[in-house]
Amino acid sequence: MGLPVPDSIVFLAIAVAVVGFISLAVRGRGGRFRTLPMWAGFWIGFGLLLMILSLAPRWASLPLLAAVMFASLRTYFFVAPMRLKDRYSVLLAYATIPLILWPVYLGNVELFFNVVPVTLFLVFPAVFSIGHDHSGLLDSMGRGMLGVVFFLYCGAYLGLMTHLDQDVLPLFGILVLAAELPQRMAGGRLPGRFLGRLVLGVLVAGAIGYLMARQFGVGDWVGLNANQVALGAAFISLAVTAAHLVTNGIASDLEMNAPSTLMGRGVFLGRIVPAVYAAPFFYYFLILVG
Amino acid sequence: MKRFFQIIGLYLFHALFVRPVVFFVVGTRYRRRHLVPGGPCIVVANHNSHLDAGVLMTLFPFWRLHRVHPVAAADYFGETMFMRLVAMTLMNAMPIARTPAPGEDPLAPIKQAIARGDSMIFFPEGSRGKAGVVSPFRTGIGRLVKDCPGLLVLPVFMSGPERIWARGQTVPVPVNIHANVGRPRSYDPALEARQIAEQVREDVLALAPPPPAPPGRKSDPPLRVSICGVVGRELRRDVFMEVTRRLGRLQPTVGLADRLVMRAEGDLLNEAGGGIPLAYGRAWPTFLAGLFRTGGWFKGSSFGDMIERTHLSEALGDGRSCRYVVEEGNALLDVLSWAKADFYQGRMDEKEPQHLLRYISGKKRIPPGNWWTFIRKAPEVWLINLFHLARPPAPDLLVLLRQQPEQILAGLRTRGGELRGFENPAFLAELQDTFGEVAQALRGRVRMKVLDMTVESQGPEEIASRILEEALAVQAAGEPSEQDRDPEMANP
Repeated sequence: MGLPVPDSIVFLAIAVAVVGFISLAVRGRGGRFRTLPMWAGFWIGFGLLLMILSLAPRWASLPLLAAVMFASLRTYFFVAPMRLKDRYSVLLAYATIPLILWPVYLGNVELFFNVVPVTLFLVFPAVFSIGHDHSGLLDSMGRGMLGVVFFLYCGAYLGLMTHLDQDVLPLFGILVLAAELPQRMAGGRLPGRFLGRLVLGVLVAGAIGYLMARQFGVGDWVGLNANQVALGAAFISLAVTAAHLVTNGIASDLEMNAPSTLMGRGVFLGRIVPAVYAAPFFYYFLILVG
Repeated sequence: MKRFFQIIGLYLFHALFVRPVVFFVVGTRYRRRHLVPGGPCIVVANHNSHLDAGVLMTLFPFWRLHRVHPVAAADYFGETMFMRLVAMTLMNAMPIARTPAPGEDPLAPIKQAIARGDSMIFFPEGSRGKAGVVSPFRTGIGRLVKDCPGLLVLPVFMSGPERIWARGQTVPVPVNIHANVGRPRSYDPALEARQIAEQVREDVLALAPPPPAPPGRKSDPPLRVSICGVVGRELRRDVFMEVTRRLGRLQPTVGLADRLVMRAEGDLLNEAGGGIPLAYGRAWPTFLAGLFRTGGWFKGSSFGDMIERTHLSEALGDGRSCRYVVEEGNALLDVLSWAKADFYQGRMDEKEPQHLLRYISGKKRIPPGNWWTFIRKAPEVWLINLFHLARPPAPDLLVLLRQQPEQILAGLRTRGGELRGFENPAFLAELQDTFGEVAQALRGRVRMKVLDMTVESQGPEEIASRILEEALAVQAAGEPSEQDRDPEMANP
């Protein structure tokens, strides 16, 4: 396009703007549509993060990712409170952020795959189990581990993707938007059984991905053809559906339903989790298709 | 000159330490911050952490900091030079003696500061207390209000600090803080100091959000009260509102009516703007209903509304965050009544709803061989079953209000407008009987109490009192005993 920034960044900005426009246009219908502009607002911030990660050097962009991880984890622990005795586990979760981002900074995938299970998945249960009173231990451990998996493990993949190609992260953002928008427009409960909803969401996302690749050549940025982009979009749609499933389950368990939503709490989970949850899926997809 | 350096230190400390911590490390969020008065006021809040004063000071604009004083216990914060420096100088605190000498007024410096136009931050609990518990307020706030008539009191409820840095904890752990600001008000100085303190405590507690669910056992599902029956629309709505309001004074309650969702807590009753806030989409059920000519004179839109309300009701029931759900009308009763009228041609014994209940609940699929029969005679049941549209729950207490058909028609006529074809005494009487028979049949199949009331001259208040009585009785009967709660006692 002749602009000083890559086409992928411009396309991501346009995609976020289109989503924002659609959200504003339909919000007057009420119900679930009322929350769409706030979701689009979240994507302005998240899209900006993807752009910075894509363009800025890692020594400058990864601290920003660390700050986002910290803020997300902090809000998660507010929404899903732990037992008072688990405070050191929460502190450990925060302390793990630099530990997990160090191999990401180095681009050392092998180290990353060793750090994660050892520091996160083995040390955490031990710290949770310290003490004599073990009532609520499994529940508390599950809450803590889920936060760590969402915001540290999945979030770190955004950093890992900076090692692949400059255009990977913008493409990831575009495909997540393409997968999420139809699902959010259709609402949490489409007609039919779960399998029907899943297939419908995957097909729509795949079709959008295919059309974008054919019309605008979004796959060319990272060497994917139209079919592969469609497959990637479908893959991300699966991940986003899974993320919605998980967040709905968590929200239900945390009793964050209509009355709580009226109080304006708990919406954070539903916005950020699908975005970061899809990152490992897309990373593996790119590795698979070469 | 000393005060000048103190103010410089105060502003530097807040700019470089307090505000960055409050905004970036613990991510404080405010609700209704614009209610903080521009003039002098006294901020009253719950107290669980040393962070509280810092968070409350950020409520005020930066340039007003030197005129805002947290009230601090002189014995605790004057203990060491470091604590004196941080509290009295850098936080601009005003010390008061918790155990004053005889004849001494510990509140005198505060009154002088208020007279100067300064604002105060006051923790009437007196100390940080137990994490997450709001202790009784001491009478100091009451005496202050009595001695300063017209003083604006700003109630604030903070959640989060008790988890960050509670009493007895050495290391703070960052999680978010929510500061919920209430409307500033003054209190009647003629009241006793104790009464004023209790009123202030109530105002602070009214701002508390529903507590987040801690790990462990979950609460029981809410008690559902459905107010149904064939009476004047206004009367039914008034009864619904009154019951919701009264139950809301006891425990968190949600009221569900057509295009209306209410959350009643204490005396607070809010109507959700823009219709039902959680629309799961009525377009699809309405389309299906139109396609299969569902609902007779109810038409497709009523069917769509009903499905949407049922989803909302399911969401509330699953979440268990309220203690009572009050519904105007009941989807299960409606669907079964339609089926009784069309499928069973007005005849239905107590055993027959069993099949329908299984189909409506989704436990059993309608055999394809029976589809055509259902499409012709009970398309609502078929649609709900085939497309998994909803699972209408049975209420714990079903209130059937009855009125003489002539009385209902008289009400309709006074409201004005033409009567529709079905609004005639014979049909209304038949409808009442149908609801009654279905309710009786339903009672034999599900655990449900039916309150059949004939309304003559009673007003909504009187009817609501009766319903409330029954609801509490049902709740008391459904409460598990200690033996039920303890698995070891139940299974020795």
